[in-house]
Amino acid sequence: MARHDLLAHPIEWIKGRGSSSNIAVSSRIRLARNLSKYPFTHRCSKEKLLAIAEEVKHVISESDILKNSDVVEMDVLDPLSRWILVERHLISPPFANGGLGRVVIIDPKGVVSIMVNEEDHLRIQVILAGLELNEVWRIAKKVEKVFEELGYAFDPDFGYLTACPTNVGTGMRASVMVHIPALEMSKQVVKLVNESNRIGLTVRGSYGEGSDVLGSLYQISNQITLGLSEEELVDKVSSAVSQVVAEEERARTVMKRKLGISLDDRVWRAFGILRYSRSIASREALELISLIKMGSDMGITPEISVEEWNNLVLGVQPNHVQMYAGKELSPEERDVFRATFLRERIKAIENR
Amino acid sequence: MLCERCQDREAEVHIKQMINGEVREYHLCRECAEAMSLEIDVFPHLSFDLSWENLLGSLFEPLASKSARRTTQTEVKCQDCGLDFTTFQKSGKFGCPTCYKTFREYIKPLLRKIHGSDRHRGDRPDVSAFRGEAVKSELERLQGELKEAVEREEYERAAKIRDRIRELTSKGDGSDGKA
Repeated sequence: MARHDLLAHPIEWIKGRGSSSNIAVSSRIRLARNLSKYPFTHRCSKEKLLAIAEEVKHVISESDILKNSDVVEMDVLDPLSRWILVERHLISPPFANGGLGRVVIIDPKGVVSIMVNEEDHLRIQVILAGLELNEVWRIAKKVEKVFEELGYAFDPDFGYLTACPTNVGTGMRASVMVHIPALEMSKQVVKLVNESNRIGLTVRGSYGEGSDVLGSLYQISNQITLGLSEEELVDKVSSAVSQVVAEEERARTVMKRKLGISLDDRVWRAFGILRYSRSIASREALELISLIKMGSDMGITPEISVEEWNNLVLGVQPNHVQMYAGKELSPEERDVFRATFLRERIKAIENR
Repeated sequence: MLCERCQDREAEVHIKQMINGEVREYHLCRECAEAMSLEIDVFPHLSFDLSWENLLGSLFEPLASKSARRTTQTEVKCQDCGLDFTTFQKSGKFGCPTCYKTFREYIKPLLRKIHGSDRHRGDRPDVSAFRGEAVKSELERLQGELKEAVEREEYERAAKIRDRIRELTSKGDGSDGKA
């Protein structure tokens, strides 16, 4: 029951309604909070983990903005559903392994997701499409206030206290996912990474720490969490991303002028493979989807909306392919179903 | 790239430091990096085992060795959760919020290394939302903070803390009989 509801849950960021969402796919803020009267999660007894989950659930049941949310114990969910949530960026990969007292809360609009008993007692996450960090911060702050009555662990010098000292202070990670194929092709990503590091920002793959860069999707986020205010951190990430968006647009214009027909050829070949292949691995699929999205933005290939594109990128992920097939699949079988899924979608786009 | 220190061996260690927003880069060979980590206090000790936890743990080594010398091996333990410093060094994770108090003096230089700062400038919890035990512990902490601020003659900060205490006591009266 829980499984079905959760996978059908609407997710706001996928709809692509946000500024510059062609290139700035989504904006996310994560706040780490702990309750002062418990040890950090990794040092909690079973009883304490359950007590934390109960306290949080109680607050949710009485909160106007959260009371209609889905509240689901991770251990009740089947593995496929858990990993679907990871692929949709609603929970973290370590959280998907489940465990006592681990609960995920997703609000009715699919904007807010809260992980209980991850590395910190609460990981509050808000995601919207486009470059909308200010709005995301406004919502995150409102949600954070809901749990304040539980007594956050806070120190006037160090700020909000977290299990790992790398998150202490604001406990905030603000990140924006950007799609930058032209910067990648013109070999400017190294420069971007270096410049970002210089100003205290990190650039990573789309599934966070340690994840591969796939389909030209990168996450730009603040590296430090202490010493700057939340608004300053948001501004820093936002202004860096605005610049990246402008650079990507410029790189596309230059590329179009320089490459001419060979760019069109490359994009159309990608379209052809996605339209007719019979077996395709996720890495290749993501690279080609990236090309046809850029092609669509540049008026080369048929138009693909941001929402369609997000659904393509998600649809080729291993667990989404299995959801599409309606059964568990071996990696080879996945490649076949992935190709079927893509043919179906690309055909619809072509015939419109 | 050659090591910037000896100009002889290949640079294999690249270190970027940010202190108060200033970035300094080092490109060194292993030998020179190890030598420099002994010279410069803010330089991490390098074990060349670059898993994240080891990297974080290594940030502590200079402090830990210094403190060990000073306190002649008496291991500090957190009064609340019992976490000792060695365990923390290994895992890179604290045991409970009180650990930040217990290891306060070790934590400040660590935070400066990680964040380039050891002082929070962002949002604060609205103390009027606190209930029960949370009010009590917050009051205790604020009073300690007030004393410290007065001792350091930071009167502006002291006034702010006093306001927060007033806010808390006026609100806490009704709901907090235990305190």
